[in-house]
Amino acid sequence: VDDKDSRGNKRGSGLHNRLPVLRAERGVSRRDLAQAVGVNAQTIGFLERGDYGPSLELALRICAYFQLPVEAVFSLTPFAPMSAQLYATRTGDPG
Amino acid sequence: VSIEPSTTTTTTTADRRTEQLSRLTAEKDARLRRHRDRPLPPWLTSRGNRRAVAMLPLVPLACGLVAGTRPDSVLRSTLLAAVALSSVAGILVLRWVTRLLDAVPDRLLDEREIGERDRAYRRAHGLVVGLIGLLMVLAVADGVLSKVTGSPLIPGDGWIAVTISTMLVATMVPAAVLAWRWTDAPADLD
Repeated sequence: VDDKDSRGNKRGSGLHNRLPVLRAERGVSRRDLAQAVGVNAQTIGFLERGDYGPSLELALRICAYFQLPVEAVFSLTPFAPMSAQLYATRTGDPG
Repeated sequence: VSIEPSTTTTTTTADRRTEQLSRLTAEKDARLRRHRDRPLPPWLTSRGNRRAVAMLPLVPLACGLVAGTRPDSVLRSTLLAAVALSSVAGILVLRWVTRLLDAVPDRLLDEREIGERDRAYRRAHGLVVGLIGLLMVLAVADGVLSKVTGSPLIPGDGWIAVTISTMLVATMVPAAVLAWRWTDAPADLD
């Protein structure tokens, strides 16, 4: 697949998200999430893979579904692994 | 007093028509959704095969160009029939492969699909303009050749065949671009 768009920019999104973790945590299938936010199930897959950056409206709909603030679901920088965050919390290390 | 029943009747008829129209639209949308959700055969899941399918517009284009250069004969008629058949078959296969992305109304697509379709249309526009440009160069070359040697490259009404083929190919280009660029969705749609 051509991995660049018509302007020569790399395809895909610079936006990172926690959708796979949130879905797994709450036992929500891609199809269910897609239905709830009004997109096709494939689009959720593209979002999770980082191949597609959602519009603001879709991002807000996803956040509303998970009842989380935007920064908990989407980020411009990669999220730290959940295990690292949990370990840091337990040991009192803020990093 | 005499106006009221008439107004009521008109409103009821209009309501009934609207209701009927929305029912028909809903049925059509459901049919299209079912068609789009049908799984593709395994051989179409490979990128190479999808890209091979994306080259289908070259078949009617080649047939049309060859038909244009032939004198009016059975061969030309056969080639023209091949143009028509390969165009119809080609557009059906391309739309099947691309899940009707370039043919269904916006209300059946999500924002990613609309974006994909629009990008494909942009590329297709460039390709069609290029194709028409080539045709223009061919027409000029044909005119020059006809004046210099006395025998044109595309004799008689051959240009009709070439133009019709180009028009049919132009209708296939957006779906072909979509098929070429198609990216697989993750398989595990749990």
